[in-house]
Amino acid sequence: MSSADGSRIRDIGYAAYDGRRLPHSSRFAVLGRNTLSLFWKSGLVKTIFILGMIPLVICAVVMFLKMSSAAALRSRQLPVPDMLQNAEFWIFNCAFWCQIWFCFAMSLVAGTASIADDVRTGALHFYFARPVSKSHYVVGKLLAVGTLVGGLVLLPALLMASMPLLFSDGVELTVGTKLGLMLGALAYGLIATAALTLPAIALSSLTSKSSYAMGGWTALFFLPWVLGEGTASVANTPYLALLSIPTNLRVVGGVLMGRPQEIAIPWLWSVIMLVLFSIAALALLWRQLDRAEIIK
Amino acid sequence: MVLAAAQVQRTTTGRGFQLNAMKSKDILIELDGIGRRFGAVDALSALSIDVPTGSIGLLGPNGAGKSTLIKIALGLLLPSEGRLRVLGFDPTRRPLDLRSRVGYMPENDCYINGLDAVTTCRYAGELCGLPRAEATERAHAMLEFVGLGDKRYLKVAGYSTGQKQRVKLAQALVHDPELLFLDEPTNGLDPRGRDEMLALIAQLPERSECSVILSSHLLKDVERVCRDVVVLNEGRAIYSGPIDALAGAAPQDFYEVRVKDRPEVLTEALLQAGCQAQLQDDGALHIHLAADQSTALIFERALNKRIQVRHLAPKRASLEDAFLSVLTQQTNSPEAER
Repeated sequence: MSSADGSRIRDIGYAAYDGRRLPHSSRFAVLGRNTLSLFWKSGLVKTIFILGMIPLVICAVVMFLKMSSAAALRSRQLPVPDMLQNAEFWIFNCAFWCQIWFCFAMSLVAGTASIADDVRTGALHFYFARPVSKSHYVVGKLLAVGTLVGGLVLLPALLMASMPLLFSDGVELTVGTKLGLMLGALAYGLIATAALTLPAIALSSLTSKSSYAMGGWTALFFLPWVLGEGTASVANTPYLALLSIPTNLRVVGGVLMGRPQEIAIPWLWSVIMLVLFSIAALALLWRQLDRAEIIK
Repeated sequence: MVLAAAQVQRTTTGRGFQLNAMKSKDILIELDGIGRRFGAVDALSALSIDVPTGSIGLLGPNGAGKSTLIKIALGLLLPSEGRLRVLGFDPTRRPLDLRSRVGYMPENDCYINGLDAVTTCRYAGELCGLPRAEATERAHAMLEFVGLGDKRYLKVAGYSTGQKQRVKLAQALVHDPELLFLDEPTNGLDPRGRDEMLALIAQLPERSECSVILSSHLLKDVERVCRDVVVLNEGRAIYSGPIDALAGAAPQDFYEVRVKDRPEVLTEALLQAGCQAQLQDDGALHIHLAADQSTALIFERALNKRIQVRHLAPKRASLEDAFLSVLTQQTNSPEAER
């Protein structure tokens, strides 16, 4: 006896389950772990993660070489060439842009598919017909995408921040400065992760086609950035750039990592804008999932 | 159908329907005046049913409100009015506690893109609170149980419709639920696969002490699995009771008559003679004769109209006829017209 699909039901009985059951509060961790593991199966996600790490590690190594060379010259009381002095600026800039691009790519691939795929395949019923609440679902998805994006932001940021600590360039750094640099890197990593993860996931909840969410996220990322930085250079008005997520991240990152400012935007405004972007994305996500969990 | 309107046997309590079987059993679902509106459309209207443990069929044509009722019972939809309890829980207040005890096999596709069957079922088990190791073990057992043991490591997205149905059943069973909602479980299955699936479902209450609510628009599916049935139409419960008693709601036995031509003329003549006759789409006449009438009447009227009778055979009303009859009565009732 077999069906047209070739499979056949073999009756091996049904065993009841009387083992332990975990509390509902464990669901977000289960959801986050499984979603992350699912993303990690994608070759594209792995490629972006590995490629994203390479230039940042190279930047960290160059920074290490620069600082150790400068320290060696200083110890011999030789002048440090200008090129070596200015290298730090270029390394940080290079690291920042590499990081932004790869984090954006990661959020584009993982973030925009995270909910759209669930909508398309009916998986929202898979989750919400089980003891999974909207908050479990949101936190689980954020954990998964955030780990991938955050991994790309945090690891290199912490690595870069640790370089000046190893080679203090002949100037003794206080414990507060060291701690400040590390905390700055950590804070920047968390802000960047939230700013790049939440909008992508929120857009993903609006559609069942991840390609639409990808288009929307690309537009949201690039249009304000091009317009903002364009008007900043042409009309000398930097405030339109406040609508750009990468510009705001550059401003906030520069302040937190102790770099000189390149854009004349008050850093607090940038922080406020990034927080507003994140809150708006979270509100949108919450509203969309409200319809999925319990339809009123 | 114009056949005799049979009396639908209803066991009506003050609150509405109550299945006979529940007298000696626990109540699984209590619905008290449940209604659900989508805009101007009443998907469910003042539904009051007490459903006992066991296998219960939820029967009705497409759009009758079966899926809506299941979603309300799961807490996925809020009712517009009324109260309900499922396994003693109010789904609107404690949905998570309820959902950890029920399994749900939805009608439509429900899988996670990129996962194989084992991972899907394990994930389902983990989401229901099973530790990872136990969930893995149960996932393998349930996939064997539904006949996907040798295909368990293939991606669900690549499965045939029938295989996807089986995965849906396995993931609904993985946490050993007390109550299983099956929404059109035989959708997309070939006849043999359908037989197997129904045989499997029919055994569940006995083997796992799991009650089953089977929603289907196919009477044969429900008949195979359930002893009790709730018939829904246009959001209302129009019959609730043992499935055997539904047969009693069927029109009595009738005669099938085929004529050479002009069947509508004979239909009209028989109706004038006080018979109940209905012309079928295939040209056959279904004729119900009263106790004091005989088949001679059919021949006499045919002769009068010079219509040649080519076939006359007694027919036994099927459960399908009963179901249709119950639906027809409800549709034609003054309440429905209102």
